[in-house]
Amino acid sequence: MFKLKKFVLCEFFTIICLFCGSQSINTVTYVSPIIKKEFILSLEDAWKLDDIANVHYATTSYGLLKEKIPISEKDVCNLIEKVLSQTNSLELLYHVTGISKDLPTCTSSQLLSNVGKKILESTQNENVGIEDLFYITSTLKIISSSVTDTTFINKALKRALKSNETLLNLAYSFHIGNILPKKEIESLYDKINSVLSQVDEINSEYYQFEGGLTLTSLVVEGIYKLSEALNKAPPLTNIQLTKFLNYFLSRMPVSRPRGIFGLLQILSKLTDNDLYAWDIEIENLNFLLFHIYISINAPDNVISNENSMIAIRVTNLFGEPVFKDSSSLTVSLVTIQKKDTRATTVKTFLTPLADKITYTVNSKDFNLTPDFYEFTFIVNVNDKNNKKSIVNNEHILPFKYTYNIKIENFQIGVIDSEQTSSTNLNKLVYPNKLKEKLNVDSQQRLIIKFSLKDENQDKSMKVQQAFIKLIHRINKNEVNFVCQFDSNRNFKLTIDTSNSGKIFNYISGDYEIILIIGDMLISSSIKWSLATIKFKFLLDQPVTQSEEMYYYYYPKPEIKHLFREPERRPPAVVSNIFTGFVLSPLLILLILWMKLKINMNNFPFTLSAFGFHGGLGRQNLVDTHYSVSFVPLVRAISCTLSTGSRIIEGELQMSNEEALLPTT
Amino acid sequence: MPQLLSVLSKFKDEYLNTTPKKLKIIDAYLLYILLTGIIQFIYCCLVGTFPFNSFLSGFISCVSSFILAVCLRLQINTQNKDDFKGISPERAFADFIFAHVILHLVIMNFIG
Repeated sequence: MFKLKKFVLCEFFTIICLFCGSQSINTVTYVSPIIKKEFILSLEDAWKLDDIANVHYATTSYGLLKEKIPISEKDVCNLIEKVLSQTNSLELLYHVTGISKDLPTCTSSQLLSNVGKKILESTQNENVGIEDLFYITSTLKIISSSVTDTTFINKALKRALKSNETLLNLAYSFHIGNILPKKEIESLYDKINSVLSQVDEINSEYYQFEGGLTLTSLVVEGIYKLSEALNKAPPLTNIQLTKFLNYFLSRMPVSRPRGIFGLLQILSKLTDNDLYAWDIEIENLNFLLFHIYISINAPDNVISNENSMIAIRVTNLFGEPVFKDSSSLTVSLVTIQKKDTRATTVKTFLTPLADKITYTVNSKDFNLTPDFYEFTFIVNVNDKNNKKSIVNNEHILPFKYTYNIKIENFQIGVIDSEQTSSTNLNKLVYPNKLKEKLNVDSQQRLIIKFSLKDENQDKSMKVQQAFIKLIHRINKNEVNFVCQFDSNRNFKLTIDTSNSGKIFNYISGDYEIILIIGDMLISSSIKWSLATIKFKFLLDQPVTQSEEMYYYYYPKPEIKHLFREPERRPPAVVSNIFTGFVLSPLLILLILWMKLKINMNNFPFTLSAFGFHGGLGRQNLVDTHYSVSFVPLVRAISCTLSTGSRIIEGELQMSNEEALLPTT
Repeated sequence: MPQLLSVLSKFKDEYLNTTPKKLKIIDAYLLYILLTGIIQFIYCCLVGTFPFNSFLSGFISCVSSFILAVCLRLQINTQNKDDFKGISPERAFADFIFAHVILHLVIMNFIG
């Protein structure tokens, strides 16, 4: 009866899992050796021993990663003793006790009693905050000091929550609550739902709280601790928990010591906890399974006829065996789904290997054909005495079944254009090369025929890529053709020289023929240089370097810029002669003036006269340098004008009758 | 033709005998400006305008100087006394000088 019931339950569970499989996200990552190395690198700074908090985070993280700390434990012990003697800060006391827990050599009864004393002193303070309460309870728990009077903590917690019920305070209260009486824990347990309603969902894949990794890990760990204290399942669904886990795993490359500490703590909680909610013995069927998380992945997801073993790794989130005894775990391959077809149910158990991590099954049992597959694995806890069961027990992993290809009935030859039947073709076997050179002129065709077969099944196969590449022997010009797959399941290529000359740029000469076979499902693709052929095109072009080669490997033409050409200038002699000509009228002027008997008798030899004429001259000079400065010009003008006015005054005194007399 | 020659000789005599000396000086100056302008123009036609700015400023300088000198001549001429009442020859000469200062300031800038 019991067995039947168990079987029915298992079936039911499988159906539920298949049903929800499409929405639940499988976790296939874990703390791999690479991530572990990164964590250790990020924690390196803590060993300078200048920050007690970082030292605490580092010692705990090293413990969870099962690593030995790289410095002498004695140095750390000295540090915590020094800190303890100097401080009464609850936070530092929490870190001190945390380190002493991680490093048992540092723990002494004196140290613990000192901490206990200081903690008790702090409880005298009425206005203790919720963060301090967290430090107090965590410290008390570590030093295993039984708290006789929880009423103080209870009161302080209620007071703090009443004034400020933020997410952070609630998260702390979950951690504080687990030492309180059961009644108080239950009232906190009821608050979990209101906390969960504040979660942010990202892409329907991740759950996180606004506050990042530290707060999210604090909340989830608090929920677990509270549930453990009540011996109850946390009010989290399978999917919700998986989304939280996805978030934690997605934050794997975290580098802050506090982040690493929080992440590793929550991962260890999800890997190993005392929670169980599905207990067959008491027939309490609860589909919300809160147990442990595992990681399944396939180190190599390629299988073939030669390598037919399907191998998967089943580990906990730290990459270790889920149970010490591998027989407590059954891993079964449930369905095999070929791409774009319906899944076939197989139900085969996988065999564990000696490392207790790898489970294998031979794919030959399922008569697979080369293709892409999705294998669904289900992991169950076998041992009914082991009360743990696995939350994410269904995993879908992609695999591909590859095959070896062989070329058969390979024929190559040249026939006349009018000829319809292709007789007298050369037969060739891979990987040999045709000894004689083929010759094709403009009236002939090149014909290549072959078929591809799966080496094991002797079945004609169609591949994704079947090309013939022709490379010119001199200029390395490449021409590619696609081989056609015909109705007889053969590949065929015909190159008619009379109308394919344009593709070759009408460059005649020797070409190397290369066959290329490629496919995602072939275990090794083929590149076969099979023959040399001489093409002779009607419109023969000289062999030139291929344009592509020229474009990429040869210097580009020099860029030439045409500047504006200077205007044509006359020879300097001509210009100079004309300058003389232009100046010659000045001579005529002087002669005429002399003829008119102009005289300078009336030139007043006064300062103003010199100033005026000198000023005019200066002005002319400065005009030429106007662009240099404006000030000298203004000075020259003012000088000219002021002296000029005086001259005019002087002139007015002179009789101008004389000047106006006609000359004789 | 003899008539034309007689007209011209009469014109020359009249000019030499009746024109005041100051006007003759200005006329000589006008002739000088005119010839300079003509030679520049010939150069431009025969050789080319390069440098164009310098040619323009030189030529415009000649034209403007010619105009200014003609103005001076008009104002100084006693026959035009009625038209330019209150403008003494000194004032006219000062105007001439001032106009030249401004003109050559512009020309020197334009010459490039």
